[in-house]
Amino acid sequence: MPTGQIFVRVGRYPGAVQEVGLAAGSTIAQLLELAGLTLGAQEAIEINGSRGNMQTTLRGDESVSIITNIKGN
Amino acid sequence: MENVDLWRQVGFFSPTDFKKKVHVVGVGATGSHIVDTLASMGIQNIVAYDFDVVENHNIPNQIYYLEDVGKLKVVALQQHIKRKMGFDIEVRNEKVEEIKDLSGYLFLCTDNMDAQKNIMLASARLNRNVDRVVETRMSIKHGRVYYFDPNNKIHLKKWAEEWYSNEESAPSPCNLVAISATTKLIAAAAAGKVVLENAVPVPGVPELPAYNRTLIAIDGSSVNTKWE
Repeated sequence: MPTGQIFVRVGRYPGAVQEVGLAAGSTIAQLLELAGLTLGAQEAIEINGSRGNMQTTLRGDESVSIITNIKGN
Repeated sequence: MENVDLWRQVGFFSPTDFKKKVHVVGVGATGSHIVDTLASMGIQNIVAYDFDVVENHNIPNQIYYLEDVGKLKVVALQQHIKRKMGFDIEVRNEKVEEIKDLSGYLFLCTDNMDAQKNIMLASARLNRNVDRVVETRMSIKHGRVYYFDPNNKIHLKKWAEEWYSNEESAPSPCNLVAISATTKLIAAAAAGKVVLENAVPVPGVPELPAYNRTLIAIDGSSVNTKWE
């Protein structure tokens, strides 16, 4: 079981990024709750540039983004 | 007609050495600016596809002029390039589902995620004649550019992971569509990737990879990802 505190950068893209401290092994769901962010229906989670989900566990020093499923043109 | 003098760029990108064909499907916001950017660098072997006509509300974020309202977009675009650069590009007034004679570069710039996927799967996936697929997506404050090899299975997997249907996409209220600044940044990033991969190395200037995914915000900041 991971122990200790880790730090993770989190934010909604594009926008401000905050660094959040939380327990090692926490999930992205816990991270978002601590950061005061919610995931919308047409949004996705990214962790270090790849797709993640609310159950993805964190080891520290990751960059987590909430990104809107845009289309347009 | 006099030819446009491209001497200020040929040390970096020579259009006469660029032999590939460029297909641009959808010449609205990003697509019209991509064609303008590539043609302005001297690339002539462009095929532009669209079935839409220019409407007044297209003027702010597309390449068209007020005098083009009511014209087919492909016709107005062809006239624009002819007037600016002196050469003709090929245009096809059609709603694309599949491109039989596809080769070189495929830009997917429609406003329909399902169409983007269907065209890619039907025409480009595992097609040895296609070098790269370039796909653009946009919103009011940011855009995405995907740039990948449709014969590379890792690229296909990563692109598939990041594709979502029209229903899963965020709705764009009609008064919150990408403005000119955002659109031009996305188009420049998309066209720039093709130029980068076909550029002449400049002594003393570090090489810049053509990233597979670029997120670009309205202020010009970007986040780049390489898929290998």
